[in-house]
Amino acid sequence: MGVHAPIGCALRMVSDCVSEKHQYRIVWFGLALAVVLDTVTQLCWKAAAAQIPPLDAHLSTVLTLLTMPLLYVTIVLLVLQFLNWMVVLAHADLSYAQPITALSYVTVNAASAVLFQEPLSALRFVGLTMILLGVWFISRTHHHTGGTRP
Amino acid sequence: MSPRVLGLSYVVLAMFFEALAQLSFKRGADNTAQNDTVRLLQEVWYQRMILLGIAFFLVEAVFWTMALQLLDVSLAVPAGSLCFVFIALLSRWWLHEQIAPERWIGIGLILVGVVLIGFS
Repeated sequence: MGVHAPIGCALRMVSDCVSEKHQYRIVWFGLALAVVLDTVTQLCWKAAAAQIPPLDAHLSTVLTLLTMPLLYVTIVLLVLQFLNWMVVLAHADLSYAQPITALSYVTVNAASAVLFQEPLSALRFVGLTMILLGVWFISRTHHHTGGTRP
Repeated sequence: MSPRVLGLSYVVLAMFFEALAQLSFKRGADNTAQNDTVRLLQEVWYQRMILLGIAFFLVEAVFWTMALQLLDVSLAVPAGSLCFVFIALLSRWWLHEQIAPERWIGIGLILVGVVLIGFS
């Protein structure tokens, strides 16, 4: 065992290096997917809410909701979002991944401006730019520093 | 207590539970098979910490709804950016993540950005 230890160690260093790069790809693919899913979920939710007639009796509102396909699409999207988030968290720091999901503010605002013609004020534009800048800063830090893995 | 102060207290509580939920999710996800995504997704449902996270999430939803009943969204959303601070601090203390200066700057910029969007 003593003789093989250095070889095993070298092999492990190579495999760590490969898995590190692989891990980084999984994290960024997962984060991009998280932002896309979050954006689509919010737009579906908004579209579904817009279809509900003005609130009259509570029961009829709930029944109207249950007949809308968009509601079920939203639920499926939420479950997919949860599963994708577990994959991201298994590979990256929470303090790295969670703030990056703020990118969905940018995509939701952009999509709402295009799809629902919602106006984009100057102040809002500055806020969205600061989020982009913040995500860029975070992306420059190492994605996995935590030591909770047993 | 004015409705505004009460509403903001509910936001603080909701974001605290959001942070607890995310930390539990992270703890649970760390216990799964990292290198095999299919197995990871199967194991998720058997992780006690993840189920605890879902429970925290439901508590959060109750407080957030109570907050929205008292506050305008334009105040609730920027106040909700508090969760970025809670999550960063708890990730450092409880999960021992190293938050480099650049990560703090990034989190700060995002927080200011969300506040500006809320008030715009």
